[in-house]
Amino acid sequence: MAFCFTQVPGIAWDEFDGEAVLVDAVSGKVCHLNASASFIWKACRHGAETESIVRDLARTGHDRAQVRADVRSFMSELEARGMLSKDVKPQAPRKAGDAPHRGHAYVTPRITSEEVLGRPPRPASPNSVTELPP
Amino acid sequence: MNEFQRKGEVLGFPLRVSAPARLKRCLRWFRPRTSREPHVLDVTLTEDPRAASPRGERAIQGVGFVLDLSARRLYLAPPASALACTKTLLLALGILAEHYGPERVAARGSNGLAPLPLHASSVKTPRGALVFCGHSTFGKTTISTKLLARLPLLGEDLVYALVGPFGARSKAKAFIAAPGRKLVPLRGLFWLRKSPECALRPLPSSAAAAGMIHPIFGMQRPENARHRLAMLRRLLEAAPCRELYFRKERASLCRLLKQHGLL
Repeated sequence: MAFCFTQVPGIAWDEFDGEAVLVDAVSGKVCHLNASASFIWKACRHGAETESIVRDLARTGHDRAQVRADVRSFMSELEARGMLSKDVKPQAPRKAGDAPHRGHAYVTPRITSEEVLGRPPRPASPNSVTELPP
Repeated sequence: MNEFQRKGEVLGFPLRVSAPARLKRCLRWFRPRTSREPHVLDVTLTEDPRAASPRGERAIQGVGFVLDLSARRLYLAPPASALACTKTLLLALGILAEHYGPERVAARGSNGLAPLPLHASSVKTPRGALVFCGHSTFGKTTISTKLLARLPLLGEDLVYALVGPFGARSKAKAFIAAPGRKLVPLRGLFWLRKSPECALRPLPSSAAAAGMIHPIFGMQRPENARHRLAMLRRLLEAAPCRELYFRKERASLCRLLKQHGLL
């Protein structure tokens, strides 16, 4: 049975020079992905099957079995973190705006760094703000 | 007539201010508006912002102001100075930009720029503004107030960048708000690292954005983070971030900055 992975809607993200920055507003975590991990994340924007991602990434000449193992491991990690959801629905057709594979050098997809959002100005700072109860 | 209204602008952002007549003298900071653009923020000058503000869906309280997010109205205590007032207005506009998106705040008068409050310190050099970012204890205050104390300070804990343009496919621009309602072009953006040796190294934009993402308000809303990421993208397009490794010694830091044409 083919599974389709989709980005969870509550995750804000953007891409900077081919690397994605993900912000999980609920847990307050910021994840910085490497290039191959960013490719996987973008592919899951409208839903993608693992095998189609593996096919795209393996075009760079890397061992397909190794790429498959890496991709599965990474997608399971994102699923465990609540950033990807797994469904048993067919893969959505690629839409305009979905990034095609640009042939970057394949690296093992992983989260490069992870941080927890902190409070920007010091609590005692005149710049700190709070929400008023309604 | 007990109250009056005036239309004007601060740093190009069109505002509408209403105030009781007795507070009219507090409006020295406010300049008449030249454009016919609709205002981006309603400002009500009041002696007690907390009491004057109705409890809307979402209201934000800071020192000397309450911002009603749903009505886009700022209840502002009489400002102590034009500088304090400009900072409060930029903070309010920055919160609005994070909440509604930068294109809803960017105005023609501001050349399509939107305010982006940064947890950083900044100094002004003859060549432009240098902005030092980093988490608490990374040395933002040390570098701007001690090691580069001879340079005018633009911000010590919170710096107001104006980035954009939004809604136009133009080259990215970034400025830093300075006293006197002036804008200083951004010359250098640095992520601080303490080290025995002084050095400058490139930092990938994604790593810089991940470090600077902290929204000023409303971290639990994904839209806020999304809007802030869009503004950070413009900031990093205008001035790529570099890692600045430094030790607490003025001479070596100044030498390094001069070598790279930053001083």
